[in-house]
Amino acid sequence: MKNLFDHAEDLVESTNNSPIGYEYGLRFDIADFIYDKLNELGKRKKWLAEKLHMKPSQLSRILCTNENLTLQTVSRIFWALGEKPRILYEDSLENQIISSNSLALEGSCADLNSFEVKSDSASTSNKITQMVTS
Amino acid sequence: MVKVALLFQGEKDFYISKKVLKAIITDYTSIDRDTGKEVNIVLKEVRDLSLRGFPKNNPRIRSEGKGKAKTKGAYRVWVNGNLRIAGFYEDKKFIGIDYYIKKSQHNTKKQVKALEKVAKIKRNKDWIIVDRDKL
Repeated sequence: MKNLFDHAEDLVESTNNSPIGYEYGLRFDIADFIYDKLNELGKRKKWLAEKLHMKPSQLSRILCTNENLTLQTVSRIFWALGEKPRILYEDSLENQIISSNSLALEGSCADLNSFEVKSDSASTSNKITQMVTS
Repeated sequence: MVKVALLFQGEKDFYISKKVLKAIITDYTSIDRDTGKEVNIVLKEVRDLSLRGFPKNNPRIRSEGKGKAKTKGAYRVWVNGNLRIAGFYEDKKFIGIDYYIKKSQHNTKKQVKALEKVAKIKRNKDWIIVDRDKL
């Protein structure tokens, strides 16, 4: 019989490869994006909540990844933080990294920064889509 | 002496007691209707938090009973609705010792006791890391 730890690892693997796993991965990605941008801009959560006409408690729920966000809310968050969202899926992301790397090798001035940020994300294992900034 | 074993490696490694792991697997495993496989969102959430180093600025992680010596050093991690994992930080590790189900805004006496117990375990270094199969 499997021990608890092996069972736990199997469960994480099957969760990561299920729709609910994708969903929670995206929730974490959006929360990470908000934290990173607030840090970059030197702003506080209260500032963002005010800009979004949102109660701080609602923003907290989003940051807790406890909220099933609508695309409208996601769009407003990105707008408030000065970024434009796009949806890429993991394979397309990998292809773009490869093609950008080839361009760089050829001496092109391709900007790799955005791809480095994406590939650094802790949840790049999500197989479905990923919110990234363009 | 509370025994804990490594569950996830990340920015901060997550060590867990058998009691907590058993509760998470028993009470929070369900069958995904799309894949037909067993899934456990609590484990995924804890793994993702571990990868991110259990950041203290995340509202999911809170030092309970601020200013109270008895609970000093104990943190609770909010996972999936009403489950709270009580534990503490130790170097590059987060140690999950106990858990409770939060049903109202304020902690009950039992929940405060659980947090006090966790803080005491940290203070007295009354815990030990063991291999997974020896837990």
